[in-house]
Amino acid sequence: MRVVVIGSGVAGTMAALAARKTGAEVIAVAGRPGASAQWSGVVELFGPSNEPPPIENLLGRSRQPEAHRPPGIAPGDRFERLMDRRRFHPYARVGLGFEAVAGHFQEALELADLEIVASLSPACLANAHGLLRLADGCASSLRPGLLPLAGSTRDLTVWGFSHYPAFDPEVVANQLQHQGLAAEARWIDLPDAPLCQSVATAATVLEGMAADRLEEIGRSIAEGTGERVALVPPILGRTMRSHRSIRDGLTQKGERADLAELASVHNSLHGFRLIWELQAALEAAGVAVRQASVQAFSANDRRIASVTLDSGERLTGDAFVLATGRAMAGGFQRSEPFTETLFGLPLYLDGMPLDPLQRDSATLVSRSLVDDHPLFRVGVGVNQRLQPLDVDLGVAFDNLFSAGGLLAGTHFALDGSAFGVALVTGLLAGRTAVEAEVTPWV
Amino acid sequence: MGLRSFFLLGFQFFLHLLRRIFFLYRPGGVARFLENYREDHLFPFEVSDRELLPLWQRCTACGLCEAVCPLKEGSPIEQGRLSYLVLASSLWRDTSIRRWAAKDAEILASCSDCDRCEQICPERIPLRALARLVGSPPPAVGGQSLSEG
Repeated sequence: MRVVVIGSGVAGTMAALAARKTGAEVIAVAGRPGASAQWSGVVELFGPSNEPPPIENLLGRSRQPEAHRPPGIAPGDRFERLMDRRRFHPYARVGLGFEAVAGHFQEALELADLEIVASLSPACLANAHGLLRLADGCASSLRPGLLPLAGSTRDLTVWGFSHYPAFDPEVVANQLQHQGLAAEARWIDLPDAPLCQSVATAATVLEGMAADRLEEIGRSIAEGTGERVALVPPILGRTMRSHRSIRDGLTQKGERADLAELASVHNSLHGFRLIWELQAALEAAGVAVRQASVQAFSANDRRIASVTLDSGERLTGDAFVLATGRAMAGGFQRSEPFTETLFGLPLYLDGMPLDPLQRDSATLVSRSLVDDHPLFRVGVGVNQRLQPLDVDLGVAFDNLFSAGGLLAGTHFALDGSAFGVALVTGLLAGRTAVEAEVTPWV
Repeated sequence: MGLRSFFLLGFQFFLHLLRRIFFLYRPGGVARFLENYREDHLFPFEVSDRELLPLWQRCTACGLCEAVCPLKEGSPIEQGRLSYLVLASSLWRDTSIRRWAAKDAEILASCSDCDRCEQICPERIPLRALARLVGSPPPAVGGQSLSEG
């Protein structure tokens, strides 16, 4: 039994790991990174806090001085609202309820051993602009910064690093104060470090710092922070490994101040760490990885026989999982024809296939940024076993399964469930791909 | 206010007609472009550059190119200075900020052509070709370099 997984973002990796766990031979085709590399560090699982959240929050900036603080709605209620609003949400397509989503999320985290923690009570996280986002979990480097929505929160000290002036702790502290939090701003002066324009360069400088220098910085953070929580820009190390060593250096292995990174806006080290973690998880599980992209496929009688890579290699398999992501990673195009890139599957909008050449619906122009544009929730339509559908609503290929951002029915930004969909459908697609060969579905 | 605008517009149209009639158009070309747009730091493109322009404009500022670039392991000055993002955004919408990226292009010119940045770019942006364009000496007008302005 051999499963070929196309795509190695969050969904593709989960599918590969889930299939591998059942004992199947798994080959993952890893193309270029997509949206996983832009991950902010916040896990969204059960939907947004309101409908829809202010777009300014999503873009990481707010024009109103009194910025939005998410109301403390219970995750179960948020999930119900999301299901009410999005009848064709991937959760609904595979028939998952609130408990099932939560369960599969935990299962996925354990399977991949990702540096992600779930937040049990409603909580929010500040991003690098000082705006609060609802969180159902987060990267472990953000954990001390989780702010409970019910009850009182701890006071915050926002630290800026002088070698990374793009992050201004005063702006962030101001923004947090507007949202009713006690926050103050401090700078760490690093006169000998070169000025950096981006998170990756700023992180490289910290990675190259001697241990005693880090300890000295850590001491001044601890003194300036006291009993508060220290929030730093997300620049502590490019990889999870270097992040741990920098954090250990700064906090004396956790003995000094509570130190949390902020969620990033974009150009995100949380995302970089995630894609490298996923890569490591694939290697550890014994999944064969091909750094290539799929050029062509051959099928007979509604079954895919093989895919051909751009390296010329031909991969045969019993089942195939398609997890190539949305437009950014190349899963489908931004302009017409609106079809899936690899297998030419039709894109679905609210339960019906989209005419690939329909120019009216192909206009991605709306009067307002806040509009919930329908074309942002198009994607590949699937049945309850995550098999992609053809234009006639029938199954396109018997041994093809799909997962992640490619699926139709959810708005990747407004619905507050993108990370959860990738993890959960990835897990299920990998599992179903193996099961389907054992017990074909009638 | 409105009336005055219409008057000015009419006057310009009148001048336009006069120029049409008496063939008073000056020749265009690179020299005229440079003369007109020197203040704005705009520079003319080759036809081949113009075809590449939409590719650069696809940059989503994900920063993966910077994260994998081996030049970052170089000297501290270069570590702090080289920014692909500034480079890509220098031709994003407003090409006039090219001069800000000149230093980054200069550093990137010393790269060993490992193409890791292009391999990882989700938007398949030809970053090294971009660096070559940004780093190429700006055309001079009357002995004065554009970048000095």
